[in-house]
Amino acid sequence: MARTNSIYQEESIPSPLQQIWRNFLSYPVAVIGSWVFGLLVVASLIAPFIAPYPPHFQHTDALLVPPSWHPNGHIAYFLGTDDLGRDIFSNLLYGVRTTFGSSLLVTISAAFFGIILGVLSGMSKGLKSSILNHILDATLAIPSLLLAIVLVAISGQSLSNVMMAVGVALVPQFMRATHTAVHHELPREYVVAAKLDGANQIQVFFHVILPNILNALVVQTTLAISIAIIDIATLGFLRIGVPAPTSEWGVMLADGVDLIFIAPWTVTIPGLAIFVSVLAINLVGYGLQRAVKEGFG
Amino acid sequence: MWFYIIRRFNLFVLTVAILYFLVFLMLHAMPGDFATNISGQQQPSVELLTELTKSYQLDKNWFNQYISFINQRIHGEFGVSFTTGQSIWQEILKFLPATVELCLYATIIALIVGFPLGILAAVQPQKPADFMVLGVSLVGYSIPVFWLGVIAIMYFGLELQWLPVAGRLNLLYQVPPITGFTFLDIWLSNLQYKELAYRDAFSHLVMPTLTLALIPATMVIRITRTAVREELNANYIKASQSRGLSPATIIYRHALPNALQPIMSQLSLQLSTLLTSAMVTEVIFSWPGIGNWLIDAIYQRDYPVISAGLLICAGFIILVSVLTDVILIATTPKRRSAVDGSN
Repeated sequence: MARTNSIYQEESIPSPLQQIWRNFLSYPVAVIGSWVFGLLVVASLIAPFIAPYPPHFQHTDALLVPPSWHPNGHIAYFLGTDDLGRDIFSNLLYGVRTTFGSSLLVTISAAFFGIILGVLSGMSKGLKSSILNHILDATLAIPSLLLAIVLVAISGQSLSNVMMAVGVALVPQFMRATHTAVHHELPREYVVAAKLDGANQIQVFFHVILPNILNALVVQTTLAISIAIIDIATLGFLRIGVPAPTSEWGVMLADGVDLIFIAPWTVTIPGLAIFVSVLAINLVGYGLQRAVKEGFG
Repeated sequence: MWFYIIRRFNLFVLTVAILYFLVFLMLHAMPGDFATNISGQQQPSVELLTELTKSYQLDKNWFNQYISFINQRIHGEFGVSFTTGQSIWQEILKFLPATVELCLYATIIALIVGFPLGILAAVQPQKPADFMVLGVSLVGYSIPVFWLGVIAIMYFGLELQWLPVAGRLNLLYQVPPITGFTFLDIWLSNLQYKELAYRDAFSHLVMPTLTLALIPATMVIRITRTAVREELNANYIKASQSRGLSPATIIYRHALPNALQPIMSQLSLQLSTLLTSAMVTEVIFSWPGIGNWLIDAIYQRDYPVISAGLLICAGFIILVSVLTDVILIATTPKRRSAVDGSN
């Protein structure tokens, strides 16, 4: 990686993080994915300023207008309207907040708790580790959607409950990923060396293990975002998720199912939105995974 | 080896006990009376309530309640459903075969499609075939299953009218449910037109199975690809290449048998994803299985049914993961130390 524009014959060796970043940039699809990801983040922040209409405003004179590229479409309703005359484009933009934005928040908080618990179970030995592991196994065996359904059934239907439920379902996956990563590192020689130097558990973790497992955790986090999006949308589709007045992609899709014959765009467009955002995140995750593997391989 | 198997069995019992405890806590947290939620008896009479108190030890402390809860459930006593008033165990027996059928066929299709594609991608790294397979699997993995199902209904069911969109069998065919598996039931029945009934059952199966198979297939592709490629990098493969063995022999005789181990253990972890998408698929295609039954129970706030469904689904997943573990341990001595260790 010698720099050609340097006048000195100096060889610059990139740090591992720089190396990973360069590897990541060498995959065009992953870069496209990260652009889409960035756009979605921006959209979720500025949705109210760029949405042409309020999401629930009912244009009573423009029911079921097809998307603008259709001969009967109208440019004022870029992606068409639904059976109540609500503009689909505005709804979709507000839906970025609920579906995409809240899955980001959910993943971050699930990652926080899951990683802490995973580290505790990974670093400990004997009975404590064994107890944590069995609780982990039992919770992992409950399908995430089922867990979310039960929690929503207990605590009622609201956006915060849906987020909590999806988050609780994600925590065991973070725990498992962290636990395996820590366990993979513990028998390494440099860990043993640090221990022989007299480092205590906390020092070993923060100085030796954490830098080595960070990559695995980042990859796991990107995957978890896509799982969270699908879970929130699925709950919305089954009508046990985010309650009615909030714009959410899964709910929009479920609303469209009744109109599938006369207005197929009410189903295809929200579905496409979910698909594109999940695909973008998976591409980023895939790119990171490859970059990390090649950076250290 | 028996030592490891007994150890695994102990772990299984413990994990199931924790699962029961979680469900027990949930039953306590659910709105309404605990005695009603655990037994499904709404407004029980005084005699019934005394009987319930006795069998679930409701007058004792929580630990006794927990133990008797396990005791009742293990003996197949799941209470009755709020909505139908029927025994939940009977309902599970009625709905479970449909789900098992759907999941089984989807898994078989996923393996048949995913396994060869994964191997193909693994043996040609960084070639067009590899990128194609990987791209298809990434795209397939990102499609939400409910969207795919709805689009399939829209196109193949309504627009082209090729396939029926709901249910397992046309109502014209009166097939008594004996085993719960459509094809077996048709075979056992005394229908006049069995041929037509088979064809009808098959056409009902096509869309749900293919919809459900998509995500597992992409997972099989990716897991197989990673595992086989990892094996192909091993030294013994280089050794056999230098001895002049043909690539086919190397892959089928050496790489694949070794790659099967990680593939199996990874796939058994994906079972809960399969069950989740099976539940959604059942709702979309009105497939009369456990998923549909559970989602209905949610709409009706049928707490005993929800808790029973949770126990059955999660218990099944734990059972399968323990069984795969035991099979893996029995076939590969290498894994034994790992299981015995602090893992």
